[in-house]
Amino acid sequence: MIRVAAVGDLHAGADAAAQLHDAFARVADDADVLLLAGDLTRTGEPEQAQVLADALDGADLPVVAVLGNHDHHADRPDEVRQVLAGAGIRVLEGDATTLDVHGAAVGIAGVKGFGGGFEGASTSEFGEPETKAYIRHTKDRAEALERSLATLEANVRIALLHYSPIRATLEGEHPEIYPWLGSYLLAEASDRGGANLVVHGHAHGGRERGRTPAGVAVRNVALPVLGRPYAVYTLEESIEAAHLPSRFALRDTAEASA
Amino acid sequence: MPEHERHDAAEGLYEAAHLSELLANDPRTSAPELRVTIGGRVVTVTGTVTTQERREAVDAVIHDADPDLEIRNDVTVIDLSGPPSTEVVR
Repeated sequence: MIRVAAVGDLHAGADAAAQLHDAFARVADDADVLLLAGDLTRTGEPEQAQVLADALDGADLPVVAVLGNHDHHADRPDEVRQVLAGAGIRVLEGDATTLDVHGAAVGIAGVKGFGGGFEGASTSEFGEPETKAYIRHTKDRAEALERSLATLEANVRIALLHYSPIRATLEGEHPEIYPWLGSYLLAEASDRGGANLVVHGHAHGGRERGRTPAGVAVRNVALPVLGRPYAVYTLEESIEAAHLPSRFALRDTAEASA
Repeated sequence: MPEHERHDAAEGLYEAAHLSELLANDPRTSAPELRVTIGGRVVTVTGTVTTQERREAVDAVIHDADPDLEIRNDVTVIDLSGPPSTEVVR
């Protein structure tokens, strides 16, 4: 059994220091790993990231994070990453990490992700340069996610995102803003990369549970959705992945050449 | 609908949208996720924040923008002291 604690949209700032410290006081008793699904700060200031780093100081478990849109607002994401890394928090963006949990290899691939909408109602890389750049960024991040997942040698693979990969966990938000909340490309990357679980935040008005088109569990762990400091998901090593063929198939290639 | 009522309704919609923009960009709130609606001269704000200070900042930002608006602040403060939720995922 692998216990995964997860939460996003903590929006840390000096005024929330005490609450955040209390929120994570027992997390190492509850879980084997803590995932942070972006929007870790209010406006992306390194001082705000330090508040979260201090709150997690002494938490005796691995902490893995991605940044969110709020963490980019001050145009200082590298400094935010440095502050978090200084506290031992592994911040992913287009890469992955593998943890040993009770002898099981737990692989976590992370990207912020981006928007564009969902199958049947998505924006294309067409028209003005601004529109093309928007969708190109989403495609780039989705490809990075799939590649990262595909390279993982792990018993369980988790995709850690900020933006949503599916509509279902957005229900409750205004449908008009779905294209700013996520993209189907992130679901496709998760399904093709062999994810067993997808975790995201960003959609405060959405709901917690959904599945990718290929059936993989998706959990929206935005703090307002959970209404609790974090959720703890217990996974068995035998949890199903989608088994859709990867466009990159790096893992299959590696296994074939072994 | 009489023309003056149509104009009033349009002004309300535009003002609600501008207040949403303000709540996103004012550093006292920095909260693009909050929802704003206006009926007459009453503005209602819903959503969640993590501190009482941030909830009270909503009133301050809107009051500074338009002191004549009556503010219904329905923003709730999330309690971070509770136990986590648990689930076995299959």
